Order: sequence, then C-alpha cells, then structure tokens
Amino acid sequence: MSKCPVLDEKGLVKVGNAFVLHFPFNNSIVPLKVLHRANEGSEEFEYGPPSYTSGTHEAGVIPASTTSSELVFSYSRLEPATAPDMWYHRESNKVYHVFIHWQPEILRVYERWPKGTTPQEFRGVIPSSDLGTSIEFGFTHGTVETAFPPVIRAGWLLANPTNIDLRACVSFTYGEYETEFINDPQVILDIIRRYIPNHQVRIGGKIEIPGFEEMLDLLHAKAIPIIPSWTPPNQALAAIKGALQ
Amino acid sequence: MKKSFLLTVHGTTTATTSGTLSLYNRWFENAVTAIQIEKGMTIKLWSLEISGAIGDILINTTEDNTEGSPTFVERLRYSQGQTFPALIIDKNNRPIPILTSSDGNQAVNIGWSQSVAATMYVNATFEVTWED
Repeated sequence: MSKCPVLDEKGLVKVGNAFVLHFPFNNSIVPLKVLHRANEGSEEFEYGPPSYTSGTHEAGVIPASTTSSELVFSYSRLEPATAPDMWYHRESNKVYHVFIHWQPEILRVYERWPKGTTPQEFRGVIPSSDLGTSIEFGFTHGTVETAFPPVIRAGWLLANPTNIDLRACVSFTYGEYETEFINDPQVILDIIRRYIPNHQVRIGGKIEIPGFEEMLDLLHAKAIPIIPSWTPPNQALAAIKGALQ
Repeated sequence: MKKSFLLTVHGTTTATTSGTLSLYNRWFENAVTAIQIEKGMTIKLWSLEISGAIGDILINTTEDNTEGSPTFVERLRYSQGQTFPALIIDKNNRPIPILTSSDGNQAVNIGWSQSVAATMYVNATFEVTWED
C-alpha cells in the first residue's frame, strides 16, 4: 500500500516505529511508539452493511438522493457496554489504526470528529447533513484512514448523490497497537522534521475534541505543539521540553 | 488523488423492438433505467458483452436526468449481427469516455433496437472516475 518504510503492505505501522496522532483543532501531535500489534496477521474485519435502515428499504441501503443519519459501528458480539460503538474504548496505551473501506465507492463519506459535529467548513459554510448530497466539499469516497485512541468518539454520514438506491457495505483493515509515548525531546523534534520516518494520522478538524485530556492520560502522553520548520533547534527543543512538563 | 470504481451492470431486452434496459448490479437495491453520477465524476465504458438475439445496443446520455421525461441522446451503437457467441467490445484495453457530470444531473442508459423483438442479454462494465 505504501512505500513509507514504517508501514507494512497493508498500510499499518510496523512494530518499533513511530505513529503520530495529529490534532488540527489545537495544532498538536501525540508521538507514539508501536510496541506491539495484537492482531498482526489478522488485520481484516468484514463488518457488512452499516447499522442504518431508511424507511422500508433493506438494512444498510442508502436511498437515492439522501443522506444517512449519523452512523457508528455497533457490534453485537461485544459486551453490552461497548457493543454500540465497536471502536470506542478506554484502554490504556491502546490505539486502533483503522482503514475503513466504504463500498460502493460512489457514496460520499463525511467524517464527524468528534461524534455529532461537522468539523469541515469552507469560510463559514458547513456541509451539514441536510446538504449531504448537494454540497461541493467536506466529503471523501471509498477508504478512509483514521485512528481510534481512547475515549474519543467519531461518527459518519453516508450520502448518496446518485439516482440509485445503493446497498452500502463496510470492511476494516486495522492494527491494534500497544503504544508508548515518545518523551525524548530530540526524538520528537526529529519526528516532527521527518528525520525519523514516521506515520501520521489526522484526527478531526477544527472543532475541539471532548475527552482530549483524558485521552492523553490514558496514553500517558502529552500534546506537543507543531513547531514551524524554521525554528532554530534550541528553541524547538525548549518548546518541546516545555510541553513535556 | 484519482479514484475509480468499476460498475458492471447487466440487463435483458423485453418483448419489444426497442426500449431501455433495466440495469442490475449487486450494489443496487432495485434495477434502474439510468445511472446518474455525481458532479465531477466521469463514466467510461470498458466493455460490452452482448448475447442472444440479433440487434443493436445503444449507449445514451442525458444532460438532465432530473426532468420528468429526460431526453437521452444516442452516443454509441453496437450491432450484434449473429446469435452466437457473445460479442465483446473494447478499445484495445482502453475505456471510452461516455460522460462527465458537470452539475450532478447527467446520466447514462443502455437502449436496444431490433427489427424483430427477441431476447438479447447485455453485460456492460463502466468505470466511474473522480478526484478526491
């Protein structure tokens, strides 16, 4: 999938490499080392139709010219507490790196980080769900790469701008990472400047993410501000050390 | 990044000498008589397989599928002059661009024309492409 040296053929981070969560809402990163991949060799998850039924349509069908309600991935085989949202968790030092494969790819996909919000906008115009099939931006198609650290919840909208009632289907390629926060200022700076190969995943947009501090606690991590590339090394290191305190 | 989606549809003519195919695909809950793609997408024809009776298969497009009675214009016509075997059409492994949607209202359909009504079986593979 990628020629990046830290990724395997499925796009997942190889053990021992740096995995960086990027949070645009506060312009910070959380650099993590992948210590272990609990599901290595078994990364595929065939989920099936999303948990959504519109009127008299079959389950998982997105009718023509409509937008779904906000979707989460329920999974009834889990314990009742976690079944409503299979990627929500509160496990310490655990991050799920997930490629969500939405099919058919002609459906629009809207990410909603945090759940219940619309993080995209263009100069104040927001692609709200009632504009799902007509708005010109804010969506993608097909595979979406994301990560699920502890506590934070995401939602999804599917919009069908075609004239066809489409059966939607979802599968995942995922890595269950046991992580360790990287707390060496020089290593962090080298990661930011890409001297150390790493893989970065964006989470959300400009809307503040509730539970961010609790997520940091569970990852035993600190949020590191993104430092401009022209910042002299001593100043950059000082800024990182300040964030680590 | 350029993305694409292969869409293979199939349909069967009915007992009339001309008409529009009802198109089936595993992603469609119900058959449709036209495929309307979203703004910015392009649809290309990769292959067309025709079997059964003698007749012509037409690839038609409209600029506005949202009208009550959309006007479809013939863009391509393939003649099946024999009852066997299936005729497979491609352009040296390169697709034929059919339609680019500028406002989300454009659509393509598949029609047929015969001198004597008899069943034809049609299988078409389209590619839908776009930028994400």
